[in-house]
Amino acid sequence: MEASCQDVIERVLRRGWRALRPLVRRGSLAVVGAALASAAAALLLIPSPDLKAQATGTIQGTVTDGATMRPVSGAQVFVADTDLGTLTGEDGRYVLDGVPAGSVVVRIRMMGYSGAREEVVVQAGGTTNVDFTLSQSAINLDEIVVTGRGVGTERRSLGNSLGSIDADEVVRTGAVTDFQDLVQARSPGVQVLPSSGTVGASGVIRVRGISTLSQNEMPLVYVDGVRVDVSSEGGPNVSGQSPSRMMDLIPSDIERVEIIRGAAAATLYGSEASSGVIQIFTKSGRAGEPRWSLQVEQGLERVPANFPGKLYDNFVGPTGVRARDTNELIETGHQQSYSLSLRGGEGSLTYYLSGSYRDEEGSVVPVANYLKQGSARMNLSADPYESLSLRVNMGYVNTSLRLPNNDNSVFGVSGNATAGVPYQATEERRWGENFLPVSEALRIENMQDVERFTGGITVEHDPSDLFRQHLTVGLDVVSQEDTEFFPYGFEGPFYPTGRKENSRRSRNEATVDYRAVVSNELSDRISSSFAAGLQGVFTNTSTASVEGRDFPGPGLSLASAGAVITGDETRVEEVNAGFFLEETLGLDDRLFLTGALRVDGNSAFGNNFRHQTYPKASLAYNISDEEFWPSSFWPTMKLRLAYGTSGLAPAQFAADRTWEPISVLGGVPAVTPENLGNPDLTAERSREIEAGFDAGLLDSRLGLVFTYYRQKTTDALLGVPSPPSLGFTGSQLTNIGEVRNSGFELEVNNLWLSGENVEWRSDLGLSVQETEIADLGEAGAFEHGFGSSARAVEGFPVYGKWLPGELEWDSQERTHSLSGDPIYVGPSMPTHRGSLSNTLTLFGRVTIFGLADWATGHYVANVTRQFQTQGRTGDAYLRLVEAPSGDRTPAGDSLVNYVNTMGNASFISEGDFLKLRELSLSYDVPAPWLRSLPLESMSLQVSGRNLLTATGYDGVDPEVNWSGADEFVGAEFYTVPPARRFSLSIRTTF
Amino acid sequence: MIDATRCPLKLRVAATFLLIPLLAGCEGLLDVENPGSILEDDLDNEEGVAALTAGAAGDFNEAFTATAFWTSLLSDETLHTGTAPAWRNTSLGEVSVESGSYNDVSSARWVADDAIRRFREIMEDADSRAETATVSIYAGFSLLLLADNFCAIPLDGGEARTPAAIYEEAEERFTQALDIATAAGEGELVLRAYAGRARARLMLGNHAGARSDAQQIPEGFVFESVHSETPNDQNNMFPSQSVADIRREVSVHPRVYEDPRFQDDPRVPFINRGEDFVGVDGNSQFVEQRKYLERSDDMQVSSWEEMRLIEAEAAVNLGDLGAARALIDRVREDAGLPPYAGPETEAALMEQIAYERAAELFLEAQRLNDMRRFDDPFLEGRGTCFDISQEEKDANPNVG
Repeated sequence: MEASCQDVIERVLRRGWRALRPLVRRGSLAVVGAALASAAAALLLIPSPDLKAQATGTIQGTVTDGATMRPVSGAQVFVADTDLGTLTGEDGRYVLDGVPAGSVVVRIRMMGYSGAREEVVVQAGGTTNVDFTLSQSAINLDEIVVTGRGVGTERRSLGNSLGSIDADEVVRTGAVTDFQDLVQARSPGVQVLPSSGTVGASGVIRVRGISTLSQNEMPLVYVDGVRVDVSSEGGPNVSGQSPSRMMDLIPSDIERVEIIRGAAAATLYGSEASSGVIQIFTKSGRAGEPRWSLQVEQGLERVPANFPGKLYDNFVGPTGVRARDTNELIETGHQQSYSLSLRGGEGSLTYYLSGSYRDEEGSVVPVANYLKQGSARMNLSADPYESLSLRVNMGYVNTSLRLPNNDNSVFGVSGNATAGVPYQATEERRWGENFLPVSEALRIENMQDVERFTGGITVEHDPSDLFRQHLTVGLDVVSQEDTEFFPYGFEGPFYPTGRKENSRRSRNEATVDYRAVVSNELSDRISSSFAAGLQGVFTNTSTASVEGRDFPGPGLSLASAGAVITGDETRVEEVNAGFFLEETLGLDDRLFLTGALRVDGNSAFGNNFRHQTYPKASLAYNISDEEFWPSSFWPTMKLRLAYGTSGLAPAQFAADRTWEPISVLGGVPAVTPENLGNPDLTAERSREIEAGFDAGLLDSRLGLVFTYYRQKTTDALLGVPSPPSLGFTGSQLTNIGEVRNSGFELEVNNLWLSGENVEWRSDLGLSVQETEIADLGEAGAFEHGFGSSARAVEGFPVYGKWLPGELEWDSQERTHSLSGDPIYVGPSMPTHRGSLSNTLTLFGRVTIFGLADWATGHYVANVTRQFQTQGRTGDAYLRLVEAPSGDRTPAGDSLVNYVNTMGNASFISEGDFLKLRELSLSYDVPAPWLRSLPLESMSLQVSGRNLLTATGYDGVDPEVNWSGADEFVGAEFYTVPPARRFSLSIRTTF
Repeated sequence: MIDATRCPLKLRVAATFLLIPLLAGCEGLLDVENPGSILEDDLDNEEGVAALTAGAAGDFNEAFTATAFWTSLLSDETLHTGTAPAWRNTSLGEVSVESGSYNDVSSARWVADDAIRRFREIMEDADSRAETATVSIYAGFSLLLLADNFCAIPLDGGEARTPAAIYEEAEERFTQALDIATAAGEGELVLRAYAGRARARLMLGNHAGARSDAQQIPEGFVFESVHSETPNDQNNMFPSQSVADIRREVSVHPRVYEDPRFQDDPRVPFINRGEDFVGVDGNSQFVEQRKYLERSDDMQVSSWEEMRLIEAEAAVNLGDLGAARALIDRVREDAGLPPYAGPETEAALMEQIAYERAAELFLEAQRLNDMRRFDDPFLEGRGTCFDISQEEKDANPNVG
């Protein structure tokens, strides 16, 4: 029986509802995934009229770099106005089967090259050869980007800025060991703020400054369309440097990174996106013979000898023991990494398989600080039907990290040596350690073991040229074990008979993303692309921990062996779900107008506020396509204007008024006030307008990308204090604040030379960012981050550095005092950043790459020196007292008095720096030399990272941040400076 | 089998989009469970009474140990020999919004008073229930901590009030507890209520009333703040900061360890390892208190010895010097010390009572108030009471 159209719709809806009904009842993760998959499957099952059944032929050929005449691999080759496409293999070759007979246009796209097109006449059943020669280009508006848009689109139609990083190229030429290195200084407006030279310590990423005063400032991160965890939750409590899950992103598996910098482009990501979005695309297979790649790298790492204990060896302890320079702690850490991948494909079935292993030792000190990481990846893609393509991406990472206690910790390794009082040195405490001998600190074992799986399936269905739909279902699973172990007989505070804590964190995050697109020509001149989609991200985080204290004897290392055992469990479920509609109208393929709307709900919103709506609009005008444009010397010019909004949801359960269950009176269950709650709680709301241009000059050898932005975040979430006399001592999270950000970003990419023997490319990135707190509402000014001297004050930058008042000196009493109100010093985060890289390739064999970056306009608090001085030690104090006895002097006493008066703000200084971040020399071994080996290619590379630093800051390093990945405070506190790394690597393919 | 060829593409697309509001709008999708906390409304029933009562005790105990700790620093019981700036400043006699236990005590007071209010709403027989008497007693002792240690005290987001007004509130809570405990037949609670009221009345200058209440307390009575190794906020706060093996952050004060009377007094146990044994600041001599050695050591909130000393003080004020001397001697005898040998004058007896209280109530949150009451010259040029917290100042418009 034939069904009418209404029946079809009805049945589709019924199927969808049947799938969704249990979800409505239980809202469980698995059910949500299944329901959405069913909904999409229902749609996919609708057979489509085969619009494509016709006579076909084959096009094949090679894509070559016009300057070097080397094959270009990974270039996109596709037939215009169809969904036929492929990538070139390692030899630059491509084959397109099933091309409709007749006249078609073949187009090529490749990062770093100008696009190419050629009209080809295809004979039914025949094969046509078409070779392409590409010329390098500093700007490429043909590049397809997908992040922030309802549908993948060429840059030419994009009205907002979008950063992109050619990760494959960066990993090949740069000195990169982790994802943080990969992103650092590559894209203006994206600040990577590293934290220290402790191996495994993560930094933070901030995009266009800070727009929130209380919520997560890390951008969202997606891998192949699947949201992933990059938080620093859990982790052994080492009181300073903390690891984040960003370290599980393996650079050698990444093809490309796209970065949304602000609210104007983040609209489609809704209520969690206003800190930016980073999308990672892992490598995919390429048609052709199986090709193996092997890379072996050996390296060394060593932190600079900057610890402020250089004078310690001028002093002797009471029994005549000479103290040691703190920098004697520094050793050389060994690094090694191995990776092997296999890439190939047959027809539409392609594969990329890889495995890697990395072993890295810290230099303070290797026995207590090391990382071992293994990973595996399998990416497959296939087109089982002409209109249906499937991609499966799966990655597994196993990370084992040992961290010493560090920074703000009485158990720290370098901290105890640096905080030592050298004139109290003994044989057992050669640095005069006050809290704990270094030898005991090294007995503490803090481990983090993580197993992680991230996988997703993407289905693309192209039933016609008009309509496409796309579904990604993916899962990111983190299983984390964090342990802290103090052995029995520990000769330090708190745990003389030992302690073990074992915390398990399990996090599952499911992403469901469905999109449908209708593209058509409304007239000869006007094209339309209408996209709609629904997305859900479902997160379950649970932790369980057990702590055992006081072992009966040595040799025990399980929490259950302790005499005092405690446990803890938490469980948090979060849901963010919504849909979007987006329409892009194109006029003459040069003027593009986009409008979109996102409607979003989040489980953290209060009962009075369940949904948020985010609009956006943008305009892209490729003015260089106009006839009046002088395209002979200015071939590319696109003007951009975009406005958009996005949000940032509060933490789960922040809206509820709750009481916390506690144990009192030695084991009696009880409750105590926990969270005041706020039924009106909703997402922060960022509105942004940005304008800019993408220009290509001098035969597209000079590319300029400029963006100016202005962002305003209203409803900023702030903790409004609640009077303790009304019971709840915490603050009430309330949508009352306002933050403003503005600035500009400029990229200048210049191909100086691109000949067969010499290629020289320079890339300059500049950014300026200013933040201002416009309104703090009833929350009033508040301090941020321990030891940072940073405050949030209306009319000033977010978390600027402040002095506590006007300092006065009484020369009679020789004492300092403070008067008046706090005094603003300057921002904690750099306001001006820049980077310059140069790549010089000689004879197609020797490549020299250098990257320098700089930051200015910010201030760093040296809390190390403050605490050292308070404890009457450290180079600044010791310089003023008698050596070798440490006897006090009036000058030393005055410094101590100064520090006691000024507290954390005692030593705030400018953090401006210029760093030679990366330098590498690579050599491609000539093929004839490899004849006796079963190798296709081989290259050798020597590289270095963090090689030179020029700065006026006189602490260990201006980039340190003592609280690691947890938050950026712009302060050092017994922090290890970032390490210099040198490595030698061999890459081969066979 | 659905034949879709008759369905125009546009309508299929429309059908697709119809799913969107269906999902986004469906109720329950955004509802998530919070298995780790109790929602406020779920406490308003009889099942919540036990947890609220225990909670009032837990919050009070946390507030008590914190107050004893801070008060020891501002008074002459302990000296800061470590690194924490707020403790250092307090030990130097500087009081700021960052010093003191205001938030803990103020919240504990509210929790206890809130429990009384809830119990009266939930239970018809609230005024004859042991739980109501218990939380009234905790409200009363919280008020005593506030009045003893803070300069001006707001309640329930109101205006700051004088310590005298707060002592009156405390007296009222204890009287209420006395009535309820009597009605409930809870003898131990009756004693606690008398003990608390005796102190409140003494501070209000009602010596006859204080004496009368204190006389109700038999020897052997003790009311304790109960502590445990876990969770951390139920720890006795002293061991972690003042036991040498754990951390040498806070030392016994020189005024104590250099005073021969304390050196021979078993009620003030400490170990002096000499000048070279220093705190974690690397400089100051560290003398270890030995009263609280474990984080699970309980602390005395009130005791029969304190009652005898209240009686003695009241007796001196009422002119009954002989009775006062006998009471002092009873307390000293119990501690294994010889009887008081000084003159039986009002001034001498008051000075002796001040000493006995310093020893008997060592590290029990009363020293600062006593030093103020007895005009101890140590307090000259120093803060004599704690300020309310910045949070209260920021959030309570009546005290800003």
